[in-house]
Amino acid sequence: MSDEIVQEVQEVDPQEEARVEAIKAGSWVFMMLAILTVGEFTTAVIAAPWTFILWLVAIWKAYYVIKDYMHIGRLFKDEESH
Amino acid sequence: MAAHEVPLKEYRAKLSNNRLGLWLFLLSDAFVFAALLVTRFVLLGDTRPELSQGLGLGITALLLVSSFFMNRAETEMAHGNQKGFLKAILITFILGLIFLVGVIGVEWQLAKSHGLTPDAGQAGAIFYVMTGFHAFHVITGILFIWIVYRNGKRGVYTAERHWGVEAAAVYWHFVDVAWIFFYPALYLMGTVIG
Amino acid sequence: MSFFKSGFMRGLIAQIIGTVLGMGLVVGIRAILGLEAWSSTNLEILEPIIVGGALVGALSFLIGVGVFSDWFKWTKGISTVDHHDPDPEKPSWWRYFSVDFDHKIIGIQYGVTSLIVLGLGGVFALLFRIELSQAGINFLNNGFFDLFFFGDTNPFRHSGGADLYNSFMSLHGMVMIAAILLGVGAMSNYLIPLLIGANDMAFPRLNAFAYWVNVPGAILLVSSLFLGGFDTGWTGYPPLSLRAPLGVQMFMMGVYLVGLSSIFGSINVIVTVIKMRAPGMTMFKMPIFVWAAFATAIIQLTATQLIGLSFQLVMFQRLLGMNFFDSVTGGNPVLFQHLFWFYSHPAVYVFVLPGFGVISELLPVFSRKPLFGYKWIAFSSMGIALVGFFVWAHHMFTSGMTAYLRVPFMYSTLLVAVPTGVKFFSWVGTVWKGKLRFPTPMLFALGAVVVFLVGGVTGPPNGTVATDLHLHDTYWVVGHFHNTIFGGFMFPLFAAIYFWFPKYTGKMYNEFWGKVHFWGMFIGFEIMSLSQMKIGLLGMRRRIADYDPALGIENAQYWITIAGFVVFFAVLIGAINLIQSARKGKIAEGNVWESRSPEWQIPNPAPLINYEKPFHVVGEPYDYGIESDYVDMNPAPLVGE
Repeated sequence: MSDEIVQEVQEVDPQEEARVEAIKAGSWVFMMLAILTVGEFTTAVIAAPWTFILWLVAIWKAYYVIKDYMHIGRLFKDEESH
Repeated sequence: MAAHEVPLKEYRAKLSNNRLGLWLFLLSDAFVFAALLVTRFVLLGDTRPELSQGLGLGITALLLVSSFFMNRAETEMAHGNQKGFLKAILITFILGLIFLVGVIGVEWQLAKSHGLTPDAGQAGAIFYVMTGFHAFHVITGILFIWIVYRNGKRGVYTAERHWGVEAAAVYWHFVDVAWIFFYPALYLMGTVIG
Repeated sequence: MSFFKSGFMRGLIAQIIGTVLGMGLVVGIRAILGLEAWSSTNLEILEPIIVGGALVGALSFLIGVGVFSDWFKWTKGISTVDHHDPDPEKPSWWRYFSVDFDHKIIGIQYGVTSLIVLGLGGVFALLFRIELSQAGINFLNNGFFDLFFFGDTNPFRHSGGADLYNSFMSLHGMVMIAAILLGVGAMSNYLIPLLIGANDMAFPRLNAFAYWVNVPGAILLVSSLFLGGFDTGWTGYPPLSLRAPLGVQMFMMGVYLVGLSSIFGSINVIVTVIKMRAPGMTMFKMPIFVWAAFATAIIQLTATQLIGLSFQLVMFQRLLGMNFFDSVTGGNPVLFQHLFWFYSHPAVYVFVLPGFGVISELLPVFSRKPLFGYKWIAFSSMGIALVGFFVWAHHMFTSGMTAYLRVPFMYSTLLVAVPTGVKFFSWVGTVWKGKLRFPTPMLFALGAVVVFLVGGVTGPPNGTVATDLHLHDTYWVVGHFHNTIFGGFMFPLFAAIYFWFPKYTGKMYNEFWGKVHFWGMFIGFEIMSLSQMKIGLLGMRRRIADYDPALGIENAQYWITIAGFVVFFAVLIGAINLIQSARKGKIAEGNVWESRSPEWQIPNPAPLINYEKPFHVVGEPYDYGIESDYVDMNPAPLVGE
């Protein structure tokens, strides 16, 4: 048994696929956050500081972080069940 | 942490308690940040202190990127990739450190040189208290991350048992969320005080 | 094993060393920044040095006592056990003076500290009550107190002995609040795991931290007396608190530490209640005290942060010149009041809700009848907690806040009477036609209902704008809130102390002296508080050291002071009775009160591990007089277990 074979087995591992998927999801959230930040900056600096819109964008960004980075859903998941 | 002695079932019951406990703490902490925002709008209303926009956007970007790497670190650990975890969390730590230097070492000095000192009226008071409270959370956050990094190097965490990593990540993201609200409140909303 | 090696003493020594180090640290920083580093007379230089010392000192206490030890190990990747067995080489009292994770030990620690702090607050009250017992006397301005607090030679004093009345009056308020929070901690930490069938709280280390942080907090609070005191009242409103003596800093820092205890204690309560209930115990089958403690914890968890922030902002303004609250230079003092009362009003529900829980817990036991309207009681606790978040500005009707806020806050305030009324209705329904017995805990529970009723009906005039404009800051308000706090906390606390006495000591208290305690406290208290309300209506202001004899209130003032002493000595008799009974009382075995509750199905005193085998809930908690059980202590294993 050489190490390469083990390596190959791991590469088609569903676990590995899940890892790549999870990292992709994290990158997607980051993209959204970046776009929103640039958006709010441009709105405020170039157009006008519309407080209401800035609040909405902040809440939107916080929603992404809380849901996808902090995984608030885990709170309501029963750990015993799996 | 490193609770390899207890059976997995017990560990998971504890994990569920720990998660709730941490979130309750963050809820409590959120009240401080909310109250600071209220203080800012009561005292400054529709105005804001004059601050460097480029620097503001820069440190905000730094914090967002660090959040991305923190998430990556946790994901790697959850899937058992020790090396990827260590790399990502070290990057998070360094970005957090740069953020701190950016706020305290650059932003504060810059503001001071423009005459915005803590005792320069309400604008100075609000600017330093908001960035100061946030910076204090950043300091605790990077300490936490440093501890997790060192424990990670010792091999304390596994894919099944890495509450320490998860807690550091959730806390760090919370610090990010606080800044998501502080950034527009300090840098973008309202008109600059003349 | 000598007492001087206990965690407590190590903590104290560490605090002294830490204070010196902290002061040195600030001196050093000042020297590096090129400021004048030290002066023994210039208060502007001394203040940051002493505040820095107090901060580092408090932290050092916690390190010295050892609450961080396990956490420090975790940071090095070393795991620790949740439960240390008691060291057989050390005497049994040792555990109470050192860090221990057992919730029962922590509960007793809270309770004893609470009673000590309570006694201290009582002494402060008696001292300034003597000053008020006659018009025109100058009792506190004498050589004895000057000697004790360094009189006019104390550099922090503004005006020698004359500050002392204000300091005692202010400290009486805050020290009592600390005592009450400690008492609430005692009840919830001791009782919750026993009542829900857990063997400990969810986070034992955090629990120990939440207790021990109170000790440096209390030390700082009292140290304010020696640093010039503070003349702001317990509310510490700026701009007065911005110009008050240095003592106000110690006061605010002490409150902050006690507040940390509330926050971390409440995290523990909420997680324990949600996650660690016995099999079969749904939320609506929990003992009713647990509901009350749960509602309390929600307030403590969130609102406490705001008093912490408001006091910190005052400290920053004093130390760093950050101008938040001084209206002369553009600050907004009313903002402080909003932040302060956002906690400090809900705080009164923190004080009374656990007490209500105790009343609801005891009445069915001594009436042998089901608790009337269990679900309504549970909802009313949550209702009071929730509505409590929207009433804070009723303390500010005269503050000059935005006028249109007055009426909404008036209505939300009056709304609190609804869930509170639900509770009274249930209590009356529970004792109605019951087979009543009247041992001391029952007397205290019934006394609590009566006293709180007086406090309750005198509340709406304060909450109504039109009448409050006249009543604000009078002794009427003093009488009102003493009735609510005695009815909602003091009487239920003693009810709980007597009721569960066999559970934590294994002995029975002396019934005769218990009853003396009750009647002395009850009669003394009512004379005191009814007279307070009377002189308030006749024009006596709160927080002043003297009054015009022409008001015609001298006689009543005299009786208030006498009645205050009666209450104090009644409580003292109670305390002596408790100590003597714990040492020499009759052995109390088994289910002393014939209660259905699980904690009475295990031996007295409660064993080290509460429940070796988890019990199952098979019935309703308060079905007294009905042939059924609440808990099955020896359940057959569930399928899959």
